[in-house]
Amino acid sequence: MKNAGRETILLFLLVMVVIIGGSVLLLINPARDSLATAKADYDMVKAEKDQKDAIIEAEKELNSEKNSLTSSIIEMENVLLPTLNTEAIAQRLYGFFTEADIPYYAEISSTEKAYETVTLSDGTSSLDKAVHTTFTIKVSGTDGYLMTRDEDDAHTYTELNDELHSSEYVGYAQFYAALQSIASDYPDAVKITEVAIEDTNQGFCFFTATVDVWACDLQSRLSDPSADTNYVVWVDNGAIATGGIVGIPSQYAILTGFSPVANTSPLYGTCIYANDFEFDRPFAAWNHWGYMRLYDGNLTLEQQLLEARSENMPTDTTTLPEE
Amino acid sequence: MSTTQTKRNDFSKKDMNFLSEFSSSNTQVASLIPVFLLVVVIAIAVVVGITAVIKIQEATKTKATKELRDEMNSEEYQEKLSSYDSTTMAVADLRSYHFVLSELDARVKALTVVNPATLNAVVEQLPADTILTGYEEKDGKVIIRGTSLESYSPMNYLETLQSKGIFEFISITEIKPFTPTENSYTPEIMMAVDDYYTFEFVGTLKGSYSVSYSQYIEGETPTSISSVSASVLASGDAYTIPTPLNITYEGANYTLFSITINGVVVNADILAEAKRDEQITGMVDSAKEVKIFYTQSTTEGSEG
Repeated sequence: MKNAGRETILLFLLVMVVIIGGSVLLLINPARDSLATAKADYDMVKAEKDQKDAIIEAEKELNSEKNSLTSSIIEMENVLLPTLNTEAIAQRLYGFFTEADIPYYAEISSTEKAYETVTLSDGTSSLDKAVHTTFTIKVSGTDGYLMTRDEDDAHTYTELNDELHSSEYVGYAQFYAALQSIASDYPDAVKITEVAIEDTNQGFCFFTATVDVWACDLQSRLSDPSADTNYVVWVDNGAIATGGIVGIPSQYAILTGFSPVANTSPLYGTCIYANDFEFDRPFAAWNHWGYMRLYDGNLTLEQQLLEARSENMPTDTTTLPEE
Repeated sequence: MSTTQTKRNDFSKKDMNFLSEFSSSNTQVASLIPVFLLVVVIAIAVVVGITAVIKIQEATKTKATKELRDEMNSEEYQEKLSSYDSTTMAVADLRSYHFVLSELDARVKALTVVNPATLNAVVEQLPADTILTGYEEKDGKVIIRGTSLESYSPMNYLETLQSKGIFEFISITEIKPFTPTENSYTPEIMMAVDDYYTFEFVGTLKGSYSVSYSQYIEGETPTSISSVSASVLASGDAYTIPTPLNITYEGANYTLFSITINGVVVNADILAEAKRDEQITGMVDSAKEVKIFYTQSTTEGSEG
């Protein structure tokens, strides 16, 4: 009977083993597998999300850098002039000389614009460029005696005698004042690169300033151009009368070496060009007429010119300008 | 009693004996049956419990996974992600544009300009008997021409110019007495001309020079990774340029590899010093364009 008890216990243990084994095999293991799969899935998704979160977090830093770069770029975009406007630059630069009381320019010139580009890492040139032009302004001093032409007088060559013996001397002091004004006006973009003083041995000097003016030519510009219109916008000092003509009319050409035109003549002060009778003029015989008549009779130069004009010029152009 | 009945009785007895044996002889075993049953129930309960816990965990994980997926698939999240791409591209463009602007800015700053104060200093030092008849200044070079009545005046003038400290060096092109014959002066004119001396000096200004630096990733075509930092310093001034040993660019680590000054690679000693001190220093005697090159860091570092 003891054997039967043992068998019963063994049977029971067998049943337990079957139950536990069956449970593990049929329930727990599949559940664990499912859990493992779920965990692996979760870990994978979590890793993916962490990676994406890091990207999103990195974007905050990128945005910070973007803002910083943008701010710096806008600052640099406005260092140079937004554009090169030749007449406005010339007006501004010449204005410094007039303000310094040395307005007598002997030359104003500027070069073609030149570009400054940057070579990028791929070997190409940048589309965003700096552009510059060089202005040369040569002004004349005075000798303190002979006044130069009076801009308010339309007859610029006529008052020379009256201007003699004035005591206005213009020279280095005025030039230096003009240089100082230019140098301090817009040092980032307007740079004096050359200065020259040349004594003429005739009681006056020529003064020359060479100025580089820099602007930007930006395809990628972020900011609006600076509101400062100096060097950019022509300062309107009144309506500019139009109606100029093409070609110097013959009435403005006169023979040289003959008696001067009387100051009562309508020709007085209007002649700006010396006639050249050696010049081949197949269809412009007017001055030739004048030349012929000059040697043909005893008329004064003025009489000959007036006569020749009245005979040969169309009515519209025979009227000489009135004073 | 028949035989059949007898056998049946024996058999019944036998059964009774068996049960009696079972119940009487193994009373203790029989009493364990409820315990066994209880154990079985508990075992089943444990199995069910474990299974339930696992299933709950699985459900939790599945739910969490779904939540993560839902969040990642949400419109807001997708916008943030796509925004990163566009921001990355925008920043790359801005970096390139910023580099171009800073390079142009450095070049314009590096131009040699005329300071009117130099001209004024030259004029202010003129001796009383001296006339300035010519002055030219360009690219830091100055030519001064004049006349003096006294033979010593040009040299006095030279001394006063040097004492102002605005010239690096002045050379005398010439100092000579006026020679009327060279100018075809007639004896009548010569009688009216005072004796004087002409001179010409050529000076080199103690100029200001541009010192600029920028960082690049080493390669066949080096990639700029910084804007160009530039400053204008007077001749003789000291300059300091930072050369960090390690930098991070777009998530990758880089180590200082080499340095060039005006296109010439610095020697090993200077490079070692730059790596140690994380800066290079020097004295300004000309324009300096410093380029600092980096290479991607290896696990053991790439120094050397």
